[in-house]
Amino acid sequence: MKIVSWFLAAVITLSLAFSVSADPKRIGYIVNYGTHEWYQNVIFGLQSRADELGIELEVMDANLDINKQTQQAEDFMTKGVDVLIMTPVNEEGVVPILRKAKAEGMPTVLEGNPAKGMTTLFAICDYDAGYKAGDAVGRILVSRGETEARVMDVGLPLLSATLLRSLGFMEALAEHVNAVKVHELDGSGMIDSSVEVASAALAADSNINVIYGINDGSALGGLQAWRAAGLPEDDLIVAGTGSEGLAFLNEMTKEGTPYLVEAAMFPEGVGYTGMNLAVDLFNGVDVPEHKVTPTLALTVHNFAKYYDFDKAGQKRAINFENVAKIPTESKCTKYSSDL
Amino acid sequence: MNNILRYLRKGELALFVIFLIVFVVFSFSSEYFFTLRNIMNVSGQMSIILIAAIGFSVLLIAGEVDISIGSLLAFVSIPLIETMNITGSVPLGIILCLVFGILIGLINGFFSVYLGVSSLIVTLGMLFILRGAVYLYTGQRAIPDELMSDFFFYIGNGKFMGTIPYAAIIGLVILLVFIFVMRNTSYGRKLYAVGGNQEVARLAGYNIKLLKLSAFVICSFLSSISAIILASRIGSANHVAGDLFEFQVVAAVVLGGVSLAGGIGSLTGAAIGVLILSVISNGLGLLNIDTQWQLVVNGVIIIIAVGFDELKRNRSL
Repeated sequence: MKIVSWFLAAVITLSLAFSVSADPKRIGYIVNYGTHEWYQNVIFGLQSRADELGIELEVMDANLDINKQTQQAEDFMTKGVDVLIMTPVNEEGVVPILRKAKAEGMPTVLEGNPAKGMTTLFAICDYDAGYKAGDAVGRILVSRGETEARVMDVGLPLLSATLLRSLGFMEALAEHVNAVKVHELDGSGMIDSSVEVASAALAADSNINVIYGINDGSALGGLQAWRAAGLPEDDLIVAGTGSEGLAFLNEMTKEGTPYLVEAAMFPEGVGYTGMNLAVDLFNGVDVPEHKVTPTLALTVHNFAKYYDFDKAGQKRAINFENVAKIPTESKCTKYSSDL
Repeated sequence: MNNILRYLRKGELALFVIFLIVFVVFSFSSEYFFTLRNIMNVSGQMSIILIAAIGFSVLLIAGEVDISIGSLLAFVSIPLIETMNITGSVPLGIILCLVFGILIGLINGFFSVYLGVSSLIVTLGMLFILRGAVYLYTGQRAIPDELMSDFFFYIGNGKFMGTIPYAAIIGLVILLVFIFVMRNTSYGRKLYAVGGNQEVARLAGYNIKLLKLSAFVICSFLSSISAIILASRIGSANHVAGDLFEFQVVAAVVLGGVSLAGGIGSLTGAAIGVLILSVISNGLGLLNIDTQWQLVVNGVIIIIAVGFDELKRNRSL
């Protein structure tokens, strides 16, 4: 009996050892636009987890060129990486790559947006992120005794993802107060365009008390236009989306700022989750079609739990442990098909 | 090897030596570079630029230029994919795509040759018109290939005998045909004459306008073939496809010794230019060098190549 127990223990130990050594050695990531702050932080998250697991991460930047992304995928297949992770330049354009990768038996993981023929994806839920920000803003309005939210939405109507954010924000807000969208703007997701369209909108009607931006640049552009118009900030609430980089933290930590809420998407956490998903896929673990990454309404009161922000040195360090503890949805409340 | 050397002219030989140096450097720098699979990958990847570069060179040799080819790539892929999606016919889509390409070539040529507007200005305008039309039609979203035909997929992604990309074979056949045309036919020689000295060509009785118009059509037609291969590789008509493509083609062609002033250069040189840039791009990628560096390298190559071209012309004056 003792011999049998020893034998079983040895078998279990060996199989555990095998399962550990089965982790991928090299993973390739093709980012769609590596110079953007969001993706630099996604790469940081991927690299951080890869370092912890002893995996070599190689990154190529498609620089918004879908043909380049196709070539880079072929290059990674030539190099024989164990798993290929991609943020598609656009969803339709990567379908042939996925087909080729499948034919070669190469596990492939997508980030951001789903594509036909994919196995698994890691991404935030846009509707839910916007909803959380709207809920937080609604609560602040109620605490101030307000009954109406007059919103300037600095959006990006071209993309379904950003439409979902705006929709989630407005629907959550409407659960607390009478929510009216006074301005629905196309800021192109860029701060300079956002300033321009917001300035024009405010010149037409400045009777608003909430600015929502579908990303940090849009929210900050809206706020900049507000300030340029010389309007009072006392009753204003600004909410941004993304937690892309340092700009929102700089504003949020200013004394008396109206920038009170950020629909944080934790790009570093996105990368960290993505690396875990890639490892799971490689190891044959049953992976979900969509692995939802954490989002949260970040305020000046709770941001320190997730980010160690060095304002003087202009650096931020994420707390992966606390971000990982944020409860995530098993699936998104709304998808682009619901628009 | 001796045959290759005998075939190449002096300038082309120098380019071929540069290519060999680049090839050897990357072979020693990356363990993945000098493998059959990678070489075949590069040959397929470069075919899109190569085919467009052949047409672009023909037009440059005739003394004109077309900088709208990048937007054309995006534009003609719309009738290609839409026709395939609606009718379920790949050949019909390809025919329509090529017809649109020819029409654009005719329009560019008509305004440049018959109305006397600078081809740089005409095709700059066409660049914006085509890109704007693409954005308007697509709403800035890619149109997916819903037919998912194996035949269409294999044009840009398939390999003959599992090794040689069909796209590379298409590129090579077109290259050989046009090398023959430019070297061994009176049509080719007339294009050189028109681009080299228009007045002499006129005195020789050449129909300059028709020759130039044909060069515009060849350029747009071959760019449309590039568009078909690209659409196959990315499975869609993509609104951002071909962005800055014209500059990649210019870089390769000028590097290959085709003069921006017209009348000088060869398709063999242009092809080696494409080969060098493609190998550099692939090699840098395999070495994990930033994409941004590849842009810098392309920029430096354009300046050096054009500088040499200017020097050569100044000396010959």
